[in-house]
Amino acid sequence: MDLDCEHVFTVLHVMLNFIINQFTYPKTIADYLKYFGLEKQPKAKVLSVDRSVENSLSIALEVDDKNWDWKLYHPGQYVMLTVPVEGRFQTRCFSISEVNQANNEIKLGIRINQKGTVTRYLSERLKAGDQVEVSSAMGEFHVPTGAKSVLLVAGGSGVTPMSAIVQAEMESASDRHIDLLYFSPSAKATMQGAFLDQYTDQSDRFGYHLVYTSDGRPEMTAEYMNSIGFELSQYDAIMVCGPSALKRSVYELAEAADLNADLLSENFSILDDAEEANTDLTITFMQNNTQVQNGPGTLLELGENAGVSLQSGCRSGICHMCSCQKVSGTVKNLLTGEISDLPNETIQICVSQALTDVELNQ
Amino acid sequence: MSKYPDYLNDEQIEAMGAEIQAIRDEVMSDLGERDVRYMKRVIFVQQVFEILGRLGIFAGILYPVIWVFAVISLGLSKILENMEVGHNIMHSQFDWTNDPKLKGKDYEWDNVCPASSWRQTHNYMHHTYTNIEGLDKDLGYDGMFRVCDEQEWKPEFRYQMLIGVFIMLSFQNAVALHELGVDDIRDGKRTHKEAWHIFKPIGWKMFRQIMKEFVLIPAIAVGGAFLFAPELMWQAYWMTALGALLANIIRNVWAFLVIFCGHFTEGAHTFPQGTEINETKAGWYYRQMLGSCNIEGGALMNVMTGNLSHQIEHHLFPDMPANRYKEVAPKIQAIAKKYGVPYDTGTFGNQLKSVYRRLKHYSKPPEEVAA
Repeated sequence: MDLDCEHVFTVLHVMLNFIINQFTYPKTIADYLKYFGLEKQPKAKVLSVDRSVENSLSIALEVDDKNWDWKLYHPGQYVMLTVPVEGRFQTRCFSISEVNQANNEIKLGIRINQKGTVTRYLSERLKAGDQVEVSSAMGEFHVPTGAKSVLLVAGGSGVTPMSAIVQAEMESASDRHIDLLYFSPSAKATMQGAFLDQYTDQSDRFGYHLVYTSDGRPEMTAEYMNSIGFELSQYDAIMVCGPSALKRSVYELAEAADLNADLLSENFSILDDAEEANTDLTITFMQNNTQVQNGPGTLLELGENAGVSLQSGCRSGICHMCSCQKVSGTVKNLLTGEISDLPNETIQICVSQALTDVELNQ
Repeated sequence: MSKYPDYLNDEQIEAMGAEIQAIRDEVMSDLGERDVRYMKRVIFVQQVFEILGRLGIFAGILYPVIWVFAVISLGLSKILENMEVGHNIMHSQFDWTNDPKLKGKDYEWDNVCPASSWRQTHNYMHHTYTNIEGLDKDLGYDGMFRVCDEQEWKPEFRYQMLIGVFIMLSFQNAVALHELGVDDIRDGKRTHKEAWHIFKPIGWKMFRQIMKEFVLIPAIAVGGAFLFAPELMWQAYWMTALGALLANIIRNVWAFLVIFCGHFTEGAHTFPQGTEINETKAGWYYRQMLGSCNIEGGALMNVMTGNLSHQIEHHLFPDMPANRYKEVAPKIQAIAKKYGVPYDTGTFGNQLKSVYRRLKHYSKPPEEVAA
């Protein structure tokens, strides 16, 4: 057996922790360290907050080696960012828009939602030097290996993962061709504009077409794509990130043109896929003995609006903080389209919509 | 005819319930940073008391004066941990913070009663069926005490004052074991096999707590004595073990007194089985108000009782952060006055005397009382 120093140290560390925790039972030694400010939780440091683009933020973070492994990072992925807002730890997912591996630095592109507690907090309160919690990079939205030519279609803040993909491709020695079609609301609200511009001159492997939708939204047809020089048949992967309507039109386009390309998409807003809510249905939150009439929104939102205190995190089906037992009823997962109709299944209420009366044991 | 004591008719109960609900909604939407800061500060202070207590007990082997203060410090830390921290977190009062360390379902307190068992008997049974005879196991603690007319008199209740002293000293064990349902086992409603299944996690936690208090931590002192002063080894053992025992007893006695003052004064109402059937939320509020009683006192009384000095408010709003009870109490009292519903409050001494009189009263058979 091969026992190196690191393994021995890990085993000793675990044993020591186990022994100490018998003395502090039912607490752990970490519980004490936390309240004396000695806890060693991996945190990311905010390097800068750029508010120059209208309604958006670009946050540069220095990630901690302890929970960040560059080998596991794929351009196009997102992270979960956790910040304390008014005493509540709130978690949201944001795409990485740029990286600087040498400095352990990542940048997150964030569209400010004026009704959203977290993005508003970030835009008003976050400053350089703050410490925030950041997960490792996650998600399946990255360029398929082996794709020779890729079309990226971005709408609004959907450009953030695309930006990281373009950066990685242009800075690597691959011969992959990347085209980016970006629908931005206006010149002032264009995220990553200057950053992307720099690559257009640098390399002929990158084609970039920027459309301001304030000047009118062009219809996505094969003719239109040809007219901007993005001929569809050349691509073996198409990636789309943005509003559901954009995703749908790209999928329709691919189908109409009978393309043989991989189609990948990233959703920022799941509610676009929601079905019209049947208001005859009743949602029962059993722990609080509260009944709520069904309406537009997820089970989580319906509960919260009725004053039920519910655990939640990312609110987009990722972190499972909101998972709870569905005792009876049928729900649809808006993210995957999956139908859960068996009793006592665990569901994520932040992305679920009721199709029948539902009882939840939250 | 209402099934409740007739201070109010059903319509008035609903109206009062709506006013209470409005108070709750107002506070719950106002929760924020200051509540988290308060709880974290309490945890910090509790840990300081605990560490000073443990270290002081070691030092006390050589300097007995320190030992006395250290035992008190450890006792206070256990009171804080059980009552202001554990009890409140385990009621999910801080779940809204999304802080895993403040999450009700995951918190385990420094007490022989396992948190999972506590959530069943206390959070669920006691807080749902408060003071309903036969359903709320806290009403008379599983047949250990007779506290209302609905309970049948048995000869052993003659000694309930004496038994009470014993239970007070070992209160944490009584709390841990009362999920077993001693009277259910005796009456054959629960088999020994079922009881054993319930006992296993309780017994395991008791074992680990005993190991910590009377074997592992004293072993540190004994080990130290072995190295530096072998003649003090025995003294090191008994002083650390006795210190831990006394600290546990301090907590047991205080918790017992606070809880009995919260539900068993002469003014606290009890309810017959069936009250819970088809009960509305407002009816539940009404029952909580009638079945609980407060202790008057200042900020120190509030923090040392885990805000159970506001037992009425706690029973109305078990998942509201307890540091808010003092600000809602005057509003609840005003509502009680407006509707003419009793709001039982008094100083610690007076409430304690009232509990004493009640236990004494019910220790006698009904015919003796009538005569």
